Amino acid sequence: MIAVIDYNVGNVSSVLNMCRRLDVAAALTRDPDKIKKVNGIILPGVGSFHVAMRNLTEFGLIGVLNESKTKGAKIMGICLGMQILFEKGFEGGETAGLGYLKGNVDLIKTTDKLPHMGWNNISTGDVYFVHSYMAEYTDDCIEFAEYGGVKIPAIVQKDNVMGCQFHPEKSGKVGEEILSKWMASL
Amino acid sequence: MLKKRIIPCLDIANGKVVKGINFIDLVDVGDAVEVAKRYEQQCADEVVFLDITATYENRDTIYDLIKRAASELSIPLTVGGGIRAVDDFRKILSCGADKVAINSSAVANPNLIREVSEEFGRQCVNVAIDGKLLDGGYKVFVKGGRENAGLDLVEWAKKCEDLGAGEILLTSMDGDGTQNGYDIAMINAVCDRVNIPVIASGGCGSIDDIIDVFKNTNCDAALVASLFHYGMATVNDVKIQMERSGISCRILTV
Repeated sequence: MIAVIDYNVGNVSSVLNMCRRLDVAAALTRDPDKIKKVNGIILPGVGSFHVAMRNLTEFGLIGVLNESKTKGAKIMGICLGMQILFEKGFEGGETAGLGYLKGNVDLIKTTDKLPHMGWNNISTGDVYFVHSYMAEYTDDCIEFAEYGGVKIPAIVQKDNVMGCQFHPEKSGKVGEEILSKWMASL
Repeated sequence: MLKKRIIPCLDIANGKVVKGINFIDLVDVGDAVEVAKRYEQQCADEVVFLDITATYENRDTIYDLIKRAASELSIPLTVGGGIRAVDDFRKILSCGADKVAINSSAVANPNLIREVSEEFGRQCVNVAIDGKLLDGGYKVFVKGGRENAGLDLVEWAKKCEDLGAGEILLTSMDGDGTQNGYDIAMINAVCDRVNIPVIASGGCGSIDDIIDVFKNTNCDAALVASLFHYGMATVNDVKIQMERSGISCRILTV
């Protein structure tokens, strides 16, 4: 069973739809008791960093996420859900993130159009991005995309924590493979 | 590298596809979900559903349709048509659409753009603009192109960006339905002024028109209807031609 964290930050139905297509049992929940029991947690999310962290705090979810992370449950953050895995964000004012990964999240420094919207390539194929903020490029970055002269971390991973800046649930077969691989590893 | 997008657009009324769709082997050519899935298989980068249902009361059918489409598609879905308020926006997103297009309601109440982008994030806010050349300048038209809104097209597009639009769907009313090619001059005028993605729409009659708009403007995506619906080309045909012409695009991988 996978817990898809329900914290009012959009796109949850597309993540649930993808789980259904992959035939993986998933529940949308903000119940700490349920979250404690699973070994796979998805943090979805579109919107803004400070709203995401505010909602996680309000719903009393930060403690249970930390606990799950410490005991080795696998955590997958998608888009904004990936960004809040980092230490700090600057969207809507400076906000502390979950701090599972080193580095900050800031506006993409480019003169090209923002949001970075559409299909861009990583090593396994094209995936769908839509975001204006990005994580810092660190050693935890295992896949990146290039846009406007910037190397944008696309997949980050450290131990049991993983994040995709793009939307695997909206990235056709390539995205489906990334998610199903992660699910198979649970 | 960011790819140029090809976006089939389906006109929907009362939950059914309106324009004729020419897929010989498709059982229900009126079913938007079946048609959208077909386009996804052909390598469409996104799909747009434009709800042209005449009466507001009949709109529940589109919600069911969005739910079904979102559960079957693994590419982004944009829904437009008849969206008047923040609550309509929320409803459509909660059904599983990725972006919502607003047009006349944004002109009538520009603050709606700010409200929805603050509430849901600018990535899901698509402002559709219908433009027309009038007395030597581009003007904004509303109500399906019937009414002059009295706004300068380029300045309105810029204002939409400033208010929080994440993308602009720019339709040339002069080109729409003519199949004479995209309105290159109009698209350039808007692309030169804004720094958010622009989808070119109106006038596509051939694969060459699509190549032309990507070669001669800085637009990010091309909206296509008749060319695909009438079976004159598949999305994949377009992608092959784009690649040959040196336009970066997502192609089918086996």
